[in-house]
Amino acid sequence: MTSDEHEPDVPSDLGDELRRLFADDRLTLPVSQDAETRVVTGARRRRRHRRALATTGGVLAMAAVVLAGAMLSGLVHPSHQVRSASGGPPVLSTTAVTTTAPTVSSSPVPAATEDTVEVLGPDGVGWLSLGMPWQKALASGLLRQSGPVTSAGCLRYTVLVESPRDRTTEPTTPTVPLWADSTEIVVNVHDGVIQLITGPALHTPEGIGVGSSREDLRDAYPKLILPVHSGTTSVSVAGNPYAVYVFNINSDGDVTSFSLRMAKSDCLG
Amino acid sequence: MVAAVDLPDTQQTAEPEPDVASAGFGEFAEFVRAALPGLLRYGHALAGNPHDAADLVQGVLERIGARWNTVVRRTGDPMAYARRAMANAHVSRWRRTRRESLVADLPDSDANAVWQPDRFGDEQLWQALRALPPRQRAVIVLRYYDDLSEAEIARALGISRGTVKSQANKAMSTLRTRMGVTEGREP
Repeated sequence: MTSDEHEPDVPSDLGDELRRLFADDRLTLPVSQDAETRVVTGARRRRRHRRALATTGGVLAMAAVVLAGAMLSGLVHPSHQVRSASGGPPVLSTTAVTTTAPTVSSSPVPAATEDTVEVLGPDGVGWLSLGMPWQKALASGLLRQSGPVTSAGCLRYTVLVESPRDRTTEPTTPTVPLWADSTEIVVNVHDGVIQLITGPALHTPEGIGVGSSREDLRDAYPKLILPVHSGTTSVSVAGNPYAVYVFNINSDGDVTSFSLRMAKSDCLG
Repeated sequence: MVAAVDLPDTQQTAEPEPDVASAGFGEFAEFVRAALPGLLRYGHALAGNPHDAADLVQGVLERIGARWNTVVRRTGDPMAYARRAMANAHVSRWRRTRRESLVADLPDSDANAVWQPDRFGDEQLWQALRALPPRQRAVIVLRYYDDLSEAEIARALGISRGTVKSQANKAMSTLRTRMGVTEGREP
């Protein structure tokens, strides 16, 4: 990561000429009177759009989109076991879809604002981290199973926003971390926690979260290959060679959900 | 009928922006004011003309403003972040819609104005630079405007060092050829 090895200059005056050109006064452009207002107005419009997506449509669409995303990204939802080569018995096929809706939806959780977002990654968030053993995660008492065990030994859990014993506290001023809002995890009994699927309160360290645009993604991850329309895409995680971020993108190019998952572990056995 | 006029106002005040957001935009507005001249200049170097420069700057600043606190907290240097984002936006050419200009039009009749649609006229190096493909041009700007090293350019644009090197070589050789050819053919 050393970055101070400057290239020896091109052995010509061309480099100097380019520097002169870039220092030229003629490059300076006059700023229009209302430029600042225009930019701020545009930013406000974008943020509103992002919030709207993150707080309403995003949450409602979460159950459906997360399921689709998990399957696309190689994780098979317990109710949709697609591995047939194993010859194992087909796993329960009708449940789980409804149970993956956020179990705490009755308790009002404030919408995520810029100042309440936390970071998912590079290893996890809060008390949860990738690779955390199954039993240890369960011991938190903050997980509610939201699907049956698959033949590959995968389980899906909803992370509780409040532990049940704290439910008597004033619901509008939660003392619990907001990151847990709508967050789900997938656990493989052998590898532990292999995927964290987030709600609207979390961002990647690069600032990408639910509602981020295609352009935001491009800014934050120049290497990311974006799907032409809707779909899913993944990118490596800075600081964790064993993990990837998986983004689900709708047809408008907005991130509808994303997850942090182990690059080499899945629910395919 | 009068009540119908008042209604939208009432609805708007019933749903105010959170204080946090307003504060964020205040600080962001200050940043915009301070950063605009530099970023427009930088955009001019990248894009090669005032209109595309304004387009680049507006798009990138709007996106930064929409998540201002996060950008500040995560990057610590919004100005550097904005420049990097502009270089990438320029390369990816995702500027589909041309925005209204952030650049003030100076009166053409002003005898002292140096302003022209293309302020560099037919200056050879400028024209040769404008003719480069976006990525080569971005590499040149990052190298000679930003004074970034090869490794830094690679990180900023999300490409390999080898690509930076080959793009820079191609660009420099094209520039050199164009300069040489036009100079050589002059009587």
